[in-house]
Amino acid sequence: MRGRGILGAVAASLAALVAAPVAGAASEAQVKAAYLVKLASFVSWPVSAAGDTFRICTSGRPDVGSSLAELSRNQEVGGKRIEPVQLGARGADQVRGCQVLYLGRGGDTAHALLAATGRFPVLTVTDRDSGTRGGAIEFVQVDGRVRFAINRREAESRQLALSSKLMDVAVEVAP
Amino acid sequence: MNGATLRRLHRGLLERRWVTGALAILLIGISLLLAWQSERAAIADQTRQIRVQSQMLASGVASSLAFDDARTTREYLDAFKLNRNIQAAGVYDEGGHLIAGFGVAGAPPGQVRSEQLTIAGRQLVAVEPVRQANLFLGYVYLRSSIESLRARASRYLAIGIVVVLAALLIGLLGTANAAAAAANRALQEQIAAREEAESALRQAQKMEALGQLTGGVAHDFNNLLMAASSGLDLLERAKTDERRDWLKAGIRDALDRGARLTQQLLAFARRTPVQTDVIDVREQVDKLADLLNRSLREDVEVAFEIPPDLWPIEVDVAQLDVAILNLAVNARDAMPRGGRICITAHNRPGGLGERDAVEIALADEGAGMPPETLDKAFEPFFTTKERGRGTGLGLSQVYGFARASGGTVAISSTPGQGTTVTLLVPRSHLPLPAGRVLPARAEAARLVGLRAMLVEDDPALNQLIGQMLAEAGLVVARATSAAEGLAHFEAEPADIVLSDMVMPGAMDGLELARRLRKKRGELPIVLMTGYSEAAGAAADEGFTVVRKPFTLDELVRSLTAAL
Repeated sequence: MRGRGILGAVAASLAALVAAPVAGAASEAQVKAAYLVKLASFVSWPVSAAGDTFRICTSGRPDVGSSLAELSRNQEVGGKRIEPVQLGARGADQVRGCQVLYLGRGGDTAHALLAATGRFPVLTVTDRDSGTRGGAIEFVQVDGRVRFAINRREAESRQLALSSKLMDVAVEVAP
Repeated sequence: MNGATLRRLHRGLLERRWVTGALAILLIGISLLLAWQSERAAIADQTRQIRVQSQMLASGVASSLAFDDARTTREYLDAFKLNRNIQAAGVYDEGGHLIAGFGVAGAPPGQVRSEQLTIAGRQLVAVEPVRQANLFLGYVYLRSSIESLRARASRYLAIGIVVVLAALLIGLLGTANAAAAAANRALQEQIAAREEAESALRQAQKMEALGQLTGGVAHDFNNLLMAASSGLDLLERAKTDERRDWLKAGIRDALDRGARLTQQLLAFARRTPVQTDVIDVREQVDKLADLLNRSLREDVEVAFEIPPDLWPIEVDVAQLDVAILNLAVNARDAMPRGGRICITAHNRPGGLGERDAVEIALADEGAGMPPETLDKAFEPFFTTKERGRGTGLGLSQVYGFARASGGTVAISSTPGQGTTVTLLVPRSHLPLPAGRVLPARAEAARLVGLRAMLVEDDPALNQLIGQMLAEAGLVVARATSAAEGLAHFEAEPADIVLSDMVMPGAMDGLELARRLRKKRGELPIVLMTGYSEAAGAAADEGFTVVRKPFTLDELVRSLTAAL
């Protein structure tokens, strides 16, 4: 939806105005990169997981990785600089230092990385459409827009507390 | 400060009109101040509310704003449509551009730039940033109307009416109170003025009475002095004993009248020592019958209706006689063409309150009295008789006698029908004496040869009374003061002492009598006085008193009584 439209002419005096986000120019990859950062604000990590920087690891989607790198230049999460890291197939040894791990593509690499996180407090984000499943957050495509589903058990098993506000905007919440 | 002072202060303050006016204004002022404060508090409260609401909205839309969920954002916004105070609401992205919003009265602005909380006219505007953790996500905008002046006024109207009514009431009460106080002051002044006028009137009446007394008494005394004086003149020229006796009787009569007049005046003043005796009214009136028949005119008939079984009464017999005489004379004068006077007496059980009384009534068939005369009948010196015929003391004496006897007197009269005067005298429970002791020859003979000491400061009286004592056969020693008398008695004791009561010097007659009695308890002492109060005091201490002026007979009677 673009521009402004007057909706719900129910009462003459009442005007409900809805403006669409100016997201026309934003690509799917840019949106996902932005969401990875924003998600961090709605999640609390256990104190043990704290590091000097806030590390967001991406894998399988170089476009998301580069968008994140661009985005995180002037952004912080919880007062910490964002450190974007792109992981390859052999990045499994680094995966435990990530606060967020985005797996953009399925396959063995993704499984290896996911398995490498063990039960560590890593917010795992997967892309349902790309065949990776089982992340605490799963990006889904709804009406051409990026939405997400929540897997609470996955988050809780990693000692991550998700804000209830996230539930409001999630398309699915699995217990 | 005690309660009374406080009350006085209150009263004093509340009596002032301006105080209550000021109170009423103060009440309204305080009410306005409270209303203003309440207004401020209400606006502050509304500001706080809009702030809290904008924060709630900001918190609510944080995730939907972060993840571009316009539907959820609108859901949150729609919740604010229910609040009737909210005029407009909006949600903005990080750049301050409107994403969603609604406006009931005026749309939300298309762009916001910073956080704000402002009051613009009757509108409250709040712009609150949306943050999640430290992540800035955008803004929310809320605009609410401050309750309109009219709505607020209507809210205050009821209380306002009560306050204004209270103020009016205070003002009204204050005015009424001040008016009442003023009226009270005016009344007090009137009362004071009236009391002053009454006092002046009383004084005038007293002066008038004094004038009448002086006139009446002077007239009577003048007459009797004239009689005595001319009698003495004639006595010097009288050739025969018969003529001299006749003249002496005339002089004696004049002096007796003078004494009676004085007695009546004293009786009115109620200063006579009441020499009471227990008597039977029937017996006493019988004794008077002769006198009455003689002193009244031939065309006046006196009838008696007195039963034999009357209760005894205790009165001053002489005063009773005078009272009956006064009433009879009045009755006679009321019947210029003759008529009948009826004297009646009856027992009246419970006649005086609870006490039994004996009623003595004297009725005539005379002219009677109109009510206005009746009202003044007992007033001293009031007389309807022509000048020189009455002193106006007759009924006053009757009144004085009745009061002194513990009784009452009432008068009833119908013009043209006659007048009835009713005396009520309390019943005495003392027995009647066997018979009054009269100075028999045998008694008088007991005085002969006794040594008497006379104490009298007036030389003329000293001389005269000394001769009277010598006449009675006593041997007289005379002293002119109490001190001299005392010294004389010590030097040469007497068998009987006759002393004046009121004498100059440190010691008076009563004191002398006391000292003499202390020396010789059985010494007969007779005190002379013209003053009734002194006589009463002496009688109280058991001394025999003889009232001046007295006759030789009376003196002899007193002396024998003291023996």
